[in-house]
Amino acid sequence: MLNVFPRSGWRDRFYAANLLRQRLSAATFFSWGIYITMALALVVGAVLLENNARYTQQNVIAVIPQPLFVPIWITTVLTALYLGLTGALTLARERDKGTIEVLLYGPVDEIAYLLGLFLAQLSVYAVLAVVALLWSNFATWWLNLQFAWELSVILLYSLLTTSAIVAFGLWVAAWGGRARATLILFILVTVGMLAIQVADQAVTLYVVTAQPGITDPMLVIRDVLVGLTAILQWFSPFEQMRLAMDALLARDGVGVALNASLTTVQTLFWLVTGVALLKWKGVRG
Amino acid sequence: MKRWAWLLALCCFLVPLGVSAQTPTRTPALVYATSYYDGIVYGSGFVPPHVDTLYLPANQLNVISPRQTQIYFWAITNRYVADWEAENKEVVGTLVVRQGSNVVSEVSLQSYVIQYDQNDPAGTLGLYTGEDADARYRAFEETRKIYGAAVSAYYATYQEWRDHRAAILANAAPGSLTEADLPEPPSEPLPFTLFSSETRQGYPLQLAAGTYTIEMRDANGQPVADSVKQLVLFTPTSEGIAYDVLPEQRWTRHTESNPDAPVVYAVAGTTLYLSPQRASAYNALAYGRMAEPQDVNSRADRTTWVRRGAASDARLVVEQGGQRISEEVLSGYSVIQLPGQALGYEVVTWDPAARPTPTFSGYALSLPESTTAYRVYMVDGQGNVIAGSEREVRVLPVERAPTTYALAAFPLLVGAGLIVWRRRQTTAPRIEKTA
Repeated sequence: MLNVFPRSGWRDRFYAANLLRQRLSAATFFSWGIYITMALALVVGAVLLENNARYTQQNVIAVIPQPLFVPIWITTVLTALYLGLTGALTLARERDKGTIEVLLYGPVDEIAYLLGLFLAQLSVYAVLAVVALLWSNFATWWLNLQFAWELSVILLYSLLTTSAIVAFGLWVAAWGGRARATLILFILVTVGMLAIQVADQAVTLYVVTAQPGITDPMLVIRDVLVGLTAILQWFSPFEQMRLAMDALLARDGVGVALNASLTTVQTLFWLVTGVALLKWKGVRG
Repeated sequence: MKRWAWLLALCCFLVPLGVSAQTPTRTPALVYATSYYDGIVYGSGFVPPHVDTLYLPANQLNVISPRQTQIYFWAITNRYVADWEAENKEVVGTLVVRQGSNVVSEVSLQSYVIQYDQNDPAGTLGLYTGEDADARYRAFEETRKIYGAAVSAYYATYQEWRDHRAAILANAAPGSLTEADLPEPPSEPLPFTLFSSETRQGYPLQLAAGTYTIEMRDANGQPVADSVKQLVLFTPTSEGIAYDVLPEQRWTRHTESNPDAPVVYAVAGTTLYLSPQRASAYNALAYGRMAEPQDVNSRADRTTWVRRGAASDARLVVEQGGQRISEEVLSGYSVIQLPGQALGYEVVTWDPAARPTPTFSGYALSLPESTTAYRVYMVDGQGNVIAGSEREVRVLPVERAPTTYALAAFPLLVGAGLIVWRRRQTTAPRIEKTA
């Protein structure tokens, strides 16, 4: 591949990436998908808040560590999955159609292209994070919840989580080739990670409430899920976000920093290797 | 008659086939019994061979007792249990404790005894070892004998007093004597409140937090088969005040408020009673396995808060909007059932003259309709805030929760506005047909 930035290097690369970011983020903002996803996330958040309120009404009191953390986590999961998927499909489709080849003949190289795609999705998420911040502050005021600065930290943190998911989506598209393969692989991996995380919580809850004996097969399942979650905490941005939330509640700054670092390293890994894959496999896949 | 005899014989033959005892197979095994101080009392644990790690509190005197016994699996409780009656043999030798490859301690078999006074268990509880244990147990036996003698003497004196009183009353004219003319009854000895376990044999250990390996060596210094275990000594991860929060409407069901969840949400128009307890946080797996070595439910990535006893020598400061509005003292409360067929009760301040003990104790906190939030914390006699006692009690307007659904429409409205605007911007200008 011709080096399109022989002398000016990164400045021109960023310029090209920024142009791509503007074009792609505008395309996302002018389509229904992101608004429907955000609305869905807010509905889920409302369901959780109403559930807490109902419980409090029936029980007279409730001790809830941070009622808005789970809604924020779910909002991040849904929007990050949507942005990761659309980013991956954009790359895969452009390769399917051959438009990426045309693009790379111009003053855009693989780095600028992937960076543009990545920043486009991230800038969309930044706007959604502001919406989530407004929503959480409104809910805090409206429902007389405790004002927590930790919410702002977690929303800021959610940018890292979304970055990692988007970067992973782009990596899958760079590696997977066609749109269908990209779609299947991305969904399998991300939903699989989420499923393990949710199943671990559910089975643990079952074990705590049912108090099974040592011969109960659910204990084997629980142990397998605990093991998988222990592995996932090094790889899953969603699990790392959950752990960062726990660390934040426990005022454990080291725990937050550790998880943030892991997520950032993953993002960089997916982006760097994604560029390498794109270069290696070529624009025709 | 002969036919009946045959039938009876058949019945005798068949009955044993229909009835069988549930007698699980016993297996000889080396097990460990543990005695540990959980912060309130000394508890005990049974460690069968399949459990490879013992969990004990660090910096406390614990006792480990390896024993040769017969074990079997008891399906009803899903636990291995020991048949101590079949076999219960002490493993005599030396308990070797290692950390990595370094030998940290070598402990020989010693006597130990656990003693406390039931009037003040927390203040008097102790585990004594070696000669001290024997001496203390002898002293306990001596005290118990003295008490027994005092009780016998009391009953003898009491009987004499009754006989003497009866004789006086029999010889006196009716109505000529008052109580003051009669002899005083003898005073009863105070109840015996000391407790002591029997003197037992074990290997006492007091070690700092960490992971160790233990192994038994017999009298010849040879390793005892199946005696190697991992030993984890742990400390609390955090300390503070836990409240049992009792709402007036549901005083029988309290909700726990631990220091790691410092907000209590409640509905308006209720009164809460906050009963403070000193509490420590532990790793859930370590604490769970200490109390029950065969526990399979606890997880290493969870925390458990353990109550250490009531925190009664403090006051509760209540603040609203940064202003101190009251200072509550810990009070007793009685629950009085209301008369009539309808269910109902009333929580009133405990009156010692009316009832011997309160139903519960706590700090009362009223949440009138106009309240939004209170900040509460405990202060000691010198006015210092007790760490980990701070809480926020907030009134949750539960009727408002469904309206949060409406917010979900916000992104859709913004999206619709943007998309319509975009379409108008990009729609090609209509070319007017000219005539």
